Amino acid sequence: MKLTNENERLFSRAREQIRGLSDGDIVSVWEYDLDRTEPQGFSDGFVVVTEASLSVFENGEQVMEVPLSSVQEFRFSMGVGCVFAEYTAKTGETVLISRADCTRKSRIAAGVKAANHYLRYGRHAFEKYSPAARVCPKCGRAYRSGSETCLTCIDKKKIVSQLWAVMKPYKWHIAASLVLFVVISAINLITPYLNRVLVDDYIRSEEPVLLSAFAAAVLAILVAQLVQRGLTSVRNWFLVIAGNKVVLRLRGIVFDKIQQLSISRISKRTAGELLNRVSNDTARIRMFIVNQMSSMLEQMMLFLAVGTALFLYDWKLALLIILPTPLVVIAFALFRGAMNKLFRRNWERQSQSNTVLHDIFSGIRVVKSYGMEHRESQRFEEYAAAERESQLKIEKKWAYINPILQFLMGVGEFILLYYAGSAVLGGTMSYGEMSQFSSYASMLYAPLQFLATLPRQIMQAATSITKVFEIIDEPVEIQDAADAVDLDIKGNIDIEDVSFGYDETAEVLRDITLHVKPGDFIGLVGRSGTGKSTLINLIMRMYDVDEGIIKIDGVDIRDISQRSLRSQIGVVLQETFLFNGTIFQNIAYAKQDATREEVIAAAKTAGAHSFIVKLTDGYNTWVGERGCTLSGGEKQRIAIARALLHNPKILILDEATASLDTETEKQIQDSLAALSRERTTIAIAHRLSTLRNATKLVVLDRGRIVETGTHDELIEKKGIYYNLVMAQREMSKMA
Amino acid sequence: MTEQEQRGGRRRPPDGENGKKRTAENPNTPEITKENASFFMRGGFLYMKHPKDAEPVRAVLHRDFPFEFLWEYISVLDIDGYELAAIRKIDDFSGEEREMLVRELERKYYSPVIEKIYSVKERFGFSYWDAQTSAGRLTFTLQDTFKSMIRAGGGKLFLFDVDGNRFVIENVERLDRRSYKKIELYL
Repeated sequence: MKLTNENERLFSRAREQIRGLSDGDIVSVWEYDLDRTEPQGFSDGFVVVTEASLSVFENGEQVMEVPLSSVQEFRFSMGVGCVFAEYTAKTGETVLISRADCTRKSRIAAGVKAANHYLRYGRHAFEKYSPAARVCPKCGRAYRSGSETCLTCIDKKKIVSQLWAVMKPYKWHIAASLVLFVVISAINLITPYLNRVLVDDYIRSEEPVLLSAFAAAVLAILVAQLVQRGLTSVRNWFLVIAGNKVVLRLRGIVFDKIQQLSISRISKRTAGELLNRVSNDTARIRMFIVNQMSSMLEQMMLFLAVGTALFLYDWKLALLIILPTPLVVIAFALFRGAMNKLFRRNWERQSQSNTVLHDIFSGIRVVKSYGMEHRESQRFEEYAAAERESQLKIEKKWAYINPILQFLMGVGEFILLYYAGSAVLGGTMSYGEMSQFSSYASMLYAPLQFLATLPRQIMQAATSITKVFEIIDEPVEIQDAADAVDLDIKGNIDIEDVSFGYDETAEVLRDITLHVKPGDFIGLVGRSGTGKSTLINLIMRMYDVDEGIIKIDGVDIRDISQRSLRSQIGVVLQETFLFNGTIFQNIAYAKQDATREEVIAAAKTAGAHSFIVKLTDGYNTWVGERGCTLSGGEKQRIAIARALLHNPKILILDEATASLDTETEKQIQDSLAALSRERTTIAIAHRLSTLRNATKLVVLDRGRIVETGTHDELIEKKGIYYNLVMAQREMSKMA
Repeated sequence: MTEQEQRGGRRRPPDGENGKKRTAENPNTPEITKENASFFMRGGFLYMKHPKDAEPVRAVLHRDFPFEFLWEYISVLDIDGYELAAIRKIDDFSGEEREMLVRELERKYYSPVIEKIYSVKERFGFSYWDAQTSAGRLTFTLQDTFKSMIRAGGGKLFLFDVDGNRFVIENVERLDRRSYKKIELYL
């Protein structure tokens, strides 16, 4: 077994602890830090499970030793802010093994899993279950949930090279704008020079001046300005084109990637976050390319050009002008910290009051029906007041910070005024030179101000770039095998010894074995939370199993191409989703070339036709977010029609008829029963009458299959199913 | 699943299938006092003996209002999260038994008390904390700081870190000035 560093450390500690105490290889180990009984107590605890025994050590002393042969299973459970591990003995007694804070959650859960794996299959699986490190190995900071990229330690060069790879096709646009940057900066320098010529050689000239020459100088300034503005427009045009194309390309890449990711990866992030990545983060990158990157280049070039010109002209004067700049930069940096805090708080307050507003508007029917308008107005006012207060704080602070900054920035100009003024009075400098100098000086401060805010802007852009590439670089968990086949599915499903958990802390399904033949109608029954929906997610390969195998027509579903697999499975969920579009488009979603007749036939089977024809616009009725409001039952019937039109070999109904009245449900059930002869149907339903056509019922409890058989067989057995049926009969009698 | 995980928007399986507490469906959960129920410890776990049940059952105590009432409105659940009984006030029990219930609750709800804050650094939406707590000096990380805090009454502040650990500041107003300054932004 190849061990990672952390596991290596744990194993060598375990070997040290159990020396001479226990036989057999080490199966699992974990450390814990809280006292098992004393609520606020601590302990340096260590658990070692070997092939022979379970041993627990506390502060170096052995406090528990149990032969593994007497252990039925290990169990991990969550406290609040802490986690527990326990074992159940074969006698049924449960015993606490360890208590730890949540930092150790993943490792303990993995340790418990590995120990159970050994108990169940006799195989070592410690390395397999060991969690990936959730902190950056470089800086020790935690990764953001669902991410394995440390935003702090990310290689800066990598960011640039990643961005460049996307920008490369537009390199000529970018090169052209760079050349234009240089030209524009040069022109910027010319204007003050021309001004000086105008003042010294013409306006203050003691010699008679040729009016045409004077006009030519004025014209030269005008032309320089015109050319500069013109070139700026051309440069912006190049940048906007490049920026937009880069972002369009990036959005396409991110969107495609998100679609490829497995449900488990996607559901780690909220829809809002994904939306943010595709639109806001990419927009920020565009802003960076179009505005910040260009301004940065422009200002830096200007700074260098003006600085050089000043030094060449009069280095002493140049030094005097630059003298206060460190002060300005320091003051900016100091105030920025304080202001950022205030802005941040203001932003939070704004977002809070927006949330409240959103909340009130979304629930306006509830608000009105309980007559709570006044209370909600008050609630909103409170939040608005908090926002106003934080805004006021910003204004107040800014009111005294701003004059200080302005003054500091003006100090250089005062010095210049004094020095150059004296020189002019002393006759060593001309009036024109002074005006040229003062123009250059003011041109020097603008880039400085800008450069002071630059680190923050670069940081924001770098964060967006990293976040976007984090998705692009994310490994696709559920991937087609290299030799994945397209299978013409007949409908045999074989589930063998399948175990699965959504995360390391709990196993949702355990040792599931089920064989389904084409034409079978399987009803999955059980209380909420027993793993029914999870089982169908696994059949659709939304997740990969942790243990065991799922085969369709004898082929492991991991060897069937996902496209081929899912295109032959039809699903109707309780929560139906209709896209923005017409009813026709929604039914024809999975079969774009469906004829009108086919769609009508599917709608009739699904019991949807009768209500669709009553709508003014029939099948052309617009539904979805902004469309016609349909009832839950109507939406469900459209979803059933969608699944039927798709003509799947395997039909999955997850509480598909739960929002229908019994009459309509029965009607649909009968149509479905007629169709289900050629296909495999798996249905989940709480209302047991829904499953009356089922050829086999499978009862799940706590992640295991506890009963299987026909309705009559299970009734005779008087087990869980019997109790459920009896309870529902009671209910219907009451109704 | 802890509250923090829900707030963090982590992956949630359908139907709460990860051992999460399920809604109790029994509207007639019996309220218990020392008169009609007794508790004892076995194998490091709490067990309840109720006259209705022949055998004692493993009992998990659960605060119904964990931010408001620490010693009132306590549900007694089985290990699958189904409510077996309810305790209105912990004072309905007395002596050793009351002591046992208090310890059991404190053992399940583990949240070190923050006494002093040395530093809070924000970076990329995370805040990195270094603080003196009742469990010693600790460093921990909050994701989306504003959303990882809950203000309870009386200046009490709960913090939830990325791993699911909980911390509590008993009264923010009573923190020393330096510590208070460091978290003022979030209050």
